[in-house]
Amino acid sequence: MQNTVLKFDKVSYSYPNGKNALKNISFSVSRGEKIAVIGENGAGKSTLLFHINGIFKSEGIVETAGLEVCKKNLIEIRKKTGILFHDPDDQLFCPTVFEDIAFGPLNLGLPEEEIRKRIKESLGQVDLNGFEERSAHHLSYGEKKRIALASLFAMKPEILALDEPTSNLDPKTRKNLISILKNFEGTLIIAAHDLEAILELCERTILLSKGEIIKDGKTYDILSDEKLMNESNLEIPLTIKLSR
Amino acid sequence: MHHDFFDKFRYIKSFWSRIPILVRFFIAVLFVVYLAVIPFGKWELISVGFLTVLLILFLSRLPLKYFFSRTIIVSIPALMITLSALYFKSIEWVVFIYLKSWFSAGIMVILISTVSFPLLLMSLRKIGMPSLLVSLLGFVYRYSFLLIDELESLQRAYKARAAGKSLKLRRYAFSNIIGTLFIRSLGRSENVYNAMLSRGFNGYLKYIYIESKTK
Repeated sequence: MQNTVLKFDKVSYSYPNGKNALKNISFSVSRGEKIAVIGENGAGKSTLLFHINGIFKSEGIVETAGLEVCKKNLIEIRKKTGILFHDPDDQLFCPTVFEDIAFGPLNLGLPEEEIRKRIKESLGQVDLNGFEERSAHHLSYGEKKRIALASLFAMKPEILALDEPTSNLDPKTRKNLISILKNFEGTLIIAAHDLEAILELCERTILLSKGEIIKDGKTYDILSDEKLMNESNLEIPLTIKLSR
Repeated sequence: MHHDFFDKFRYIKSFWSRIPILVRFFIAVLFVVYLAVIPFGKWELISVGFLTVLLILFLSRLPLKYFFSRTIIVSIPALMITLSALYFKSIEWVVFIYLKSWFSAGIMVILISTVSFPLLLMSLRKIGMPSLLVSLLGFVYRYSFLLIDELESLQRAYKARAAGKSLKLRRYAFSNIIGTLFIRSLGRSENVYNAMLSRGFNGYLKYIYIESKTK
């Protein structure tokens, strides 16, 4: 089995207004690795995530799950990757939770029994059993985030890319979400500002600034580098500060 | 936000709510067809329509205030259109047509308010209504709440900074709110489409039925 599950090779991307969002990005991710992408607002974190399954197309080569991201491979790539959007309301577009979670597996062409089984399993994974008939507008923000995550789990993706998974969550829901993500066995890529969560979840971190990779290394080494963090308009997590 | 704009009274237990959803749907559709085919001047048939709406309203136990406020709001466009016909039609004709539309709105308000909207959509799929049409209704249901949320947050932001009651300023703020809402809706639709693509959407909407525990 191929060990590299994601590879960016000299990827650059500009928005339609001409602003450079990513510049010459190169890195690779091994199967099962949990990595974080951090950086100030506008650094290009979310843009980078959207390259993984071909939502954004750019210069350079992106390989996901052993396939080059190009038109002919998109369906196969999207079967193997799950992206959690920053705003769960973007992701929950069906009238009920059941339909939202079924949407991905249906597109995978799975048999009905398997889809029903996966819906039940994925709701169990996020601890929201019995929510099938609920409508998204009757859920709290934290519940919406967890349902959005369940909709990805139901597709059993090899790679999970999460855009700010813990933002706007109360401490208990945040803690639950972190524990759910800890139990995920596939490859995890998290773009976030919640450096405490990243410290807990990811062994490796990529630091972006103005669309460029400034540093790629061990999470603890990057997050504890005061000079680097200050230059990137970030702050050393409290856990590291207290342990000094 | 927790809104209940459509199916606010779906949990009311009544004679009407015990009737299967599809039967209720067909009663409502047949009633609208009945109203549509009544020829002008047949006031006795319109009266039968009025009594039918009142009977179903009574059987559904829907609060009167809610029913009348909703039906009036829903039938405002019909009122505007019929009033515009005053140039070439009699007042009697305008009242006749407006009553038809008002009673039609009435039966639909009763139907939609007393049934879970997702279950109604599921029933529509079961009777073979085109999947695309039902999915569109589903999107309208889901995103009308978000649109209302966006509108409310914009209004709050306006009120928090609004000083004075200049009509000119209010008009200016209102037009800005509508413009911003439009831009946000565009952004939202793009994000939703991206979310659909991310989960393997290839242009064809597929569906399986939920095994409902509630009516």
